[in-house]
Amino acid sequence: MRIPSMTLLLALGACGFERLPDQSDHSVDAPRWDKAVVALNDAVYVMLPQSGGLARVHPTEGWSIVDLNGLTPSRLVATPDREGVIVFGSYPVCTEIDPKIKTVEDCEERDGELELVHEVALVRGGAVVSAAEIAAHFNAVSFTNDGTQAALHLNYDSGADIEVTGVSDLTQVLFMDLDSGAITPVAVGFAADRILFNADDSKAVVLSRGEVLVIELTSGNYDIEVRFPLSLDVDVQVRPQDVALTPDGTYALVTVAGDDSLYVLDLEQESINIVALSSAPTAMVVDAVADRSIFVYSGFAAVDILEHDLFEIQTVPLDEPMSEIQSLAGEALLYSTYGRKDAYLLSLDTEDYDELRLENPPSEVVLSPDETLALAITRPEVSGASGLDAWYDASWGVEIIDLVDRENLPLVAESEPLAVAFTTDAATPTALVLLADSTDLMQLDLARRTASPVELEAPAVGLDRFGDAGFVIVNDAPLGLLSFLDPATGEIITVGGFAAAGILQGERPLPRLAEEE
Amino acid sequence: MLCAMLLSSLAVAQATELSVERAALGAHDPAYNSIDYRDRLSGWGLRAGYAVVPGLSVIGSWSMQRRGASNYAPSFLADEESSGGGADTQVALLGHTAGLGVKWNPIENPWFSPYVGGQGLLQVGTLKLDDDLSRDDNVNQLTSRAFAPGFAVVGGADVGLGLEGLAVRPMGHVELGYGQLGALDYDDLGELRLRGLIVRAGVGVQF
Amino acid sequence: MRRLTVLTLGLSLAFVACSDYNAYERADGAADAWDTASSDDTAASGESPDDDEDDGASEREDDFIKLLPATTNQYIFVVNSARDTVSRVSVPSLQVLTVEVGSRPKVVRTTADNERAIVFNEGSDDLTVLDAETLNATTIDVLPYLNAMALSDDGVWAVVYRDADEEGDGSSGGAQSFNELSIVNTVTGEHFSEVVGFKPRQVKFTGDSSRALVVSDEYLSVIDLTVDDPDVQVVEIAEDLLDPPPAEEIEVSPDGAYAFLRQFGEDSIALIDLDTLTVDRLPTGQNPTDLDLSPDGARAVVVSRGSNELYVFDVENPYGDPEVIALPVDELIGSVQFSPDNTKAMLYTTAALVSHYTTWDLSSGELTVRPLIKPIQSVNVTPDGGALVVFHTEADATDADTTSEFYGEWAMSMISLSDFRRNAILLSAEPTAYADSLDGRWGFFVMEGKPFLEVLDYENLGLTEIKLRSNPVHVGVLTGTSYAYVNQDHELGRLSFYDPDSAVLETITGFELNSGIEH
Repeated sequence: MRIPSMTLLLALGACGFERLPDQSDHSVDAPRWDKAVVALNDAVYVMLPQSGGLARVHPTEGWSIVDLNGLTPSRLVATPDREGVIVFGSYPVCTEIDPKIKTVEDCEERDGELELVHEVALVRGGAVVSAAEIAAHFNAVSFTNDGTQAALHLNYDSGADIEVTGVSDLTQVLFMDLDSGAITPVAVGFAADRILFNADDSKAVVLSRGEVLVIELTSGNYDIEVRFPLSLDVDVQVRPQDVALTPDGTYALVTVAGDDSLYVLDLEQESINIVALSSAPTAMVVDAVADRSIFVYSGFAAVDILEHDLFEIQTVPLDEPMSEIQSLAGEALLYSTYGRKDAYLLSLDTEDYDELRLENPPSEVVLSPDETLALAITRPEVSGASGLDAWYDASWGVEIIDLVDRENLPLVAESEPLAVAFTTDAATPTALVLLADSTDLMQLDLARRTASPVELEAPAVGLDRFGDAGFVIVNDAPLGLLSFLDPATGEIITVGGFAAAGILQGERPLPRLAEEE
Repeated sequence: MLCAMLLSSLAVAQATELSVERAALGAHDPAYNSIDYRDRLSGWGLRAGYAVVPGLSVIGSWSMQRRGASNYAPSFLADEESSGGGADTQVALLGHTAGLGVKWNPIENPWFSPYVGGQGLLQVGTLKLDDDLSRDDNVNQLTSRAFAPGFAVVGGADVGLGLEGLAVRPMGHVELGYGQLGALDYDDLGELRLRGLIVRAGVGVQF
Repeated sequence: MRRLTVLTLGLSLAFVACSDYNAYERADGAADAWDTASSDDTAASGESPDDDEDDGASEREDDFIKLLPATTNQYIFVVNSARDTVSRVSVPSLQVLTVEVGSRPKVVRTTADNERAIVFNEGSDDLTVLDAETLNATTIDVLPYLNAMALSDDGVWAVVYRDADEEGDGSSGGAQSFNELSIVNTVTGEHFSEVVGFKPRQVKFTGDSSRALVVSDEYLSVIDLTVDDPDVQVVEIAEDLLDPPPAEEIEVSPDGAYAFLRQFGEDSIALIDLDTLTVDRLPTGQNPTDLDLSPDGARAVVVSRGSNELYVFDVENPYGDPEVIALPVDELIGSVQFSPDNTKAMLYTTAALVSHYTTWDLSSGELTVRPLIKPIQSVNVTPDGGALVVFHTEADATDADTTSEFYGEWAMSMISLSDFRRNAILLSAEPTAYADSLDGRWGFFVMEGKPFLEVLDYENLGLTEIKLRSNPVHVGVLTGTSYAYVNQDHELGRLSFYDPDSAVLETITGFELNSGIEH
């Protein structure tokens, strides 16, 4: 009998994707990839929670896995120059010291315990530039204006559980030199969750529970220059809510949760003054052009304008309370995400305003890069209207707000707009609108006020800028899919499959064994 | 030269066998869980043998495997509730295993003839992933192929019906042993190490 | 700088404590708080100008409502009694610097040269001498159980004593003296303890600060401050040492030669020759209730309320016969206040509900009775003598018009002393503090529980109301300026500054937090 042709036999096995064998099921605990991608100028970085890897995705280079030396990433933060990404992660070590223990499974078999060592790494160009061990609870980063330093701290507002290994000191902030990777811990008080830097990055202002600290950054010693108390009574807990610096960097303005007090900290003369606002503010913005601060209140129909000389407040009454502010260099766009439909364009010099009425309440407003237009994502509302008005009220929408002509044009969206992004080409102002559960990306020609669909490979769930003028769309695909759009040409390049990395997950080796040895 | 030796031995023993067999190789690698919940890779194939001298045969085999599983993972959309139904990714392994070796029957009996044998193996594994079975043109239809050499040592028995008078005699065989393949390296997708108990059984003819 | 963990007390409590005892001229030993109780009591007793008999109730010195601030020409010093700190507020920059002082600071005074601030810490029994510019602090211990401080005009000497009329903590030790006081040279830091008369009521300095006079009921203690170790000489001033009449008021001649002492219930005043330390009695009419020196220091005037007379003594030759001036017959007059320009004086009473006052032209001697809308709580003449500010009682005279808008209400009047035009103003609450600018152009006052600063324009007798963020506790004027400051009720401290020329109000809040700033 002739031996059957190998070619034929291989052909029997070399079938397409039409009838893949499916004899069983398999479940994993973690998502294969995280949609919270970080888009830098050169590539997009994606966390792969199931496999514990970090993928670097490029439209023409494809995707690759970044060697993190065994570090499993848990959080990514882009550097301000968008050339690098800070990676928070951890790797396991076995408490049992035995040369035969090479894998996690080996450790468990030999009754050892696994401990996680937490680390922060800086990745540039797809490679780790520097890394340092940190405590487990650090999960947020603030950067100096020049991007050379980062302050790592705890942000509890994310709602995630704080991971504590042993006894954690939650009163520290870590200052990291992004060039050398050197880390310096500084004790700043309990629950320091906001850090900002003055214009020349010579000082850091740290908000912690009940006090504000100023740390000098020039000497490299990170000395605490001054500690401002927000209360002198230990029974009175003052929780700072927001902080901003006046344009000249002389004053730090601190709002307090649930209180109408604005703490004005004179960083030069090191004194405190409390200015009474009209109510507990919902939002605060400092306008550098007008040299004023603006406060709005979700429960009080007025806006307070604070000048930075005598710190006198001008209260401008509004028809409806506002909750959000967008600074427009001398003007401010006020709107509410609490169900109000008014929007106001307020002149900070004259305190006059133009009132706009949106068709539906906004959930988000995005400004164009030149600040001549704004796009408001509006949400459905319950109304007693009828006919076209009722249909509009029940629909999601996008409203184009002309900030120059003080007009707004409502557009209806077929589904919830998830994200909006503007192109930077001033000649043809364009905005991209991502719609939920849709394989079409809406491209709005803002000059002509027309919309056209851009077909995507799969429904999109996220949108971000990429490179100088492009965009990256995060698609809904289990094995990972990113679409790179060049708005000038309309070309879309899709790169997928990166979430398949590590799908065959065997025994997990313990990383860093060579280092330990 | 080998063929000549084989042909000359034919003239002496004239024991050629051809059978269809079911082969299974142990697959205890946790990575295999994405493909099959069982700890073995099994498939159908063919075995051919030719006795070069009485009791010693050259054995060649080939088997094909098609195993796959529906893989479920939590949604990567943080604001979605975890969905209970619908696999998100199909993972399949299409394999071919070729083997070449020898079998030694110390006792030749038309009814029951034990033997021991050894083979060199070559595994070709094609990994296929698809995250959208409703389409046949989605981007994430991924294919990756890997090769891995290996070996198998077995002990078994040829089982016959004692029909020595027939020119073509029905026979069967069953064997157990150990097989080990090198890692099938699928680059960033991972590795697959197949090794462990080999079990084969087949029916065929001897002539 | 240590963190303070003391629970917050009302700032008003602290500031009232400090403001009450910022130095002011106290001439009577009776009422030392701004309350209407005493005047109400006398009103309730039915006293009226027609009563023939003077029941001897004391006149209320109006200086209490017009408190002197602890200021220099560019700084305001605020005592934070609950936190053992003093805050220095710079004007107009509003920079606030806080410095720790001793325990329970009670009084802060600034020296006339604006160089230093002296803080009396009642809890730790010491003084803190602060450099007004650098805030460098020097601590000088004083005797325990003292509760008041007086500072000489030159700012060199501080006398810390136990004011008999001041409620104190009482002794927590085994023994306590009521005769001892501390004399501190704030420049050298030297401390001297001296024994003076029992329960001193007041301390006064001669104009050249060479001597301090400590008044108690039986004795006047004269302390020579010109020697290295201050020397005390005691002069008996009561004829009946077993039951001495309370010393109520003392005035010192500008050259420091004589001291004039009025005692309750005595129909004469004691004249003490400060050089020879001899005491003579100068006859006055019945029940002298007020004693003042004219602004030029030439005359000492005694108001004898009982006999309705003025006794005018020549300060240079007090032993001579006084000029006796009969006051208008139907008028009840118990107090005198001169205008700073020495041209006129106001005669009035605060011991009865009388809605008149009498002007006395010093050159012509003419007495003119003038009406007011309500009885008098206090009278103040502006520093330039251009206007008269009268704060009225809430109670009304028996013959008051019950239909008047002012009936039963608080009120005040601004009166031009050139033509006696009057602006009567209805108030919604009781005034609690008042101050004038040095140039006499502006006056400021605040009311109990009302978040307003009332600005008086003496040029046109107008009033402007400035809204404050919280209720005021104290008002003052920066030394030598028109800049008014208002301390307000806020748990972390609130000060407002008002420039009447530009009509700008600036407020700083939370300056007590500055005490917790760590460097």
